[in-house]
Amino acid sequence: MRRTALLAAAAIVSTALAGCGRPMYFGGWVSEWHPDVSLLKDNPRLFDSVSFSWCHIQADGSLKRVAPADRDELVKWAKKHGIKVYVTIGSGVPGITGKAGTRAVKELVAVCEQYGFDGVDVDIEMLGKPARDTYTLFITRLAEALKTMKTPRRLSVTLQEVQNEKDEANLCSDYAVAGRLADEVRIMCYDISWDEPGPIMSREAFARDLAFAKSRIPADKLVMAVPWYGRDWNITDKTHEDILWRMTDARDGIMGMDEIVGKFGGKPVWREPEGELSYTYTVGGKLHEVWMADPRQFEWMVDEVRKAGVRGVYIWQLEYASPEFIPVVRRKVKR
Amino acid sequence: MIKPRMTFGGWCPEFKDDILQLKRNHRLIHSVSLFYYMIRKDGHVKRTRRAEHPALIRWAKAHGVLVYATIGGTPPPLPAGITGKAGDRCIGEIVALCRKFGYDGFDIDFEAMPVAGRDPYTLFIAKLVSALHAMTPPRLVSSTIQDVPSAKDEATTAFDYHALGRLADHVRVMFYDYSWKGPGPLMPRGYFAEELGYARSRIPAEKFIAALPWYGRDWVPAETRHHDIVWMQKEKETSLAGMEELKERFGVKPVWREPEGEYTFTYDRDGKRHEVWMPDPRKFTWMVREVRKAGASGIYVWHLAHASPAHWRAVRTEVRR
Repeated sequence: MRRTALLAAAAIVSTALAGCGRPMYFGGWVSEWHPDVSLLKDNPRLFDSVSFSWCHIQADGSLKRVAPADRDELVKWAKKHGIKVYVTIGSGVPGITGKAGTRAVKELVAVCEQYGFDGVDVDIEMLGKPARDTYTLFITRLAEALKTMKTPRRLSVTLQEVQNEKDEANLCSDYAVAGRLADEVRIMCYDISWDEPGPIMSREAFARDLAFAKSRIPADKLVMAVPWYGRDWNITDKTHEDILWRMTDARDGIMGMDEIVGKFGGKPVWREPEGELSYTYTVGGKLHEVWMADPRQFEWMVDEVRKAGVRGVYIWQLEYASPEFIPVVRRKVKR
Repeated sequence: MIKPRMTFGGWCPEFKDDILQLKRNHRLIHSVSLFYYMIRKDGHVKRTRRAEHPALIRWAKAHGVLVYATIGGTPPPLPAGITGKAGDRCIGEIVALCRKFGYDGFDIDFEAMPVAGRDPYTLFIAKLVSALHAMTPPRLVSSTIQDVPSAKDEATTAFDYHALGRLADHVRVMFYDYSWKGPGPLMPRGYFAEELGYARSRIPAEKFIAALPWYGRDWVPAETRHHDIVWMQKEKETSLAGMEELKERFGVKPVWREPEGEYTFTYDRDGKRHEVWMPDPRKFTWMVREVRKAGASGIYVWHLAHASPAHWRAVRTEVRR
């Protein structure tokens, strides 16, 4: 009887542990545009890595720094706190082709040495299918150069989201190839609405993105990049701009979500089946529609990522984030 | 932690005795590579035999042996045959062949390419991996590459070890043919150690397969010609005498040579002096031990035909233990 009770208790504990899962990999980008990094600095223990938008590869392969000067101290601070630091780079086709590409690889190795970066995150977007061979050879060379450094560095590639093979064929990068060459592949699961107002990332699109990425990229390398930002469409003028939670018009020239709602009143509406907040307001006779990633959306995304058993989540972007995201990170990502 | 057993496989280029060896020893064999195809300049995959052997493929799979098809090629069809549209055609045809014959994977054995073939070859493997992995079920890609002792030497070849180690499912490095024009060992110990160390520094252990020789070479130095021989071959059947037959007919006693770690002997025939260097089961054993120490995941042999029972004993005791 006693033995049966012990076995039953062990079974309950084991089931509970299995349900808990393990802490997932977590990190985020810091762009070159905004000075605020308080959320990162207040919660260093939650972050496995941080990626700084650092430089752009110019047409001749040389690197042009875009990161503000104060980021140097932030890199040191992150490393001191045990956070892996990636240098994020952008480029057009010429900068990664032939001799220019060779120069870019050399300069990236030098930047890693100079600042002690733990890896390079290649975030080259919008190149399209014609650049596929060029892109593949560039990341091949970069991967090799980083691995043969005295202290080997990691290669991350950040790729546009696609939901099927047909759409993938139009990208500059082949998911499966990136999944083999890189140590980490970040899929940008956002921006599904652009010209017209709509969700930054709907439940349906996210599920498809995740399933397709998982079918091509090893789970232990796959990181789903999710939004902590929103988009404010001026429907009257047919323009839009990205907003963050705690931006202010006075300081940043753009109102953040908190300021918009505070100023124009009412409440954002949770929309299903999209699984995202939306909000409309009128200013100066112009109708605006906002779609905004919030902690509730982040929570369901993390649940999906955990269910899929992939490596973790990455955030675009960390500046001016709502502190309300943090309890979700603690409860769902790092549990 | 218990290390997984090393895998063992071999190429079948003859489709005669090699198939008999496969059938007799299938319990020791993890995969087999059927040398069916060559590449043409326009990317067409050309069959080198009258037909494939669907019944053999079914038999091997039913007995738990993975079946790769091997496609070979050398310049001049290469690197043109794997570049641009020709390369896309080749990949399309490989996918169709996998679907038609149920191959578990394709082994790419392109040799003697100039360094100009480096980028096209890397891109070809990248695209092939993508195409074969998207199949249902996904197929494996093996890249069979030339041996080199250092990064400097690698830079003069078409094979980017690091990239291939990441892209392909398996990389088979061919550790043989050290001596070619003049008589000498097929793979001396010192050179083997250097090459093994270099390959292991570039290719992940779980993907690294060491390809070892189950053949020897018979040189006629006066005429600067040579041909390859295998162990149990009979001149009456294949027009070439194997090691056992040579020993018997010419009364020779092979000498074990160090530091090469290989057997050699000379004999005279039709007034001409021959010099033979022959990797044997003893050599195979020390090579396997070195490969195991280096941490590779498996052994491949060129080739299975006319192997001696002692070779198979070495597989049982050294590789599959």
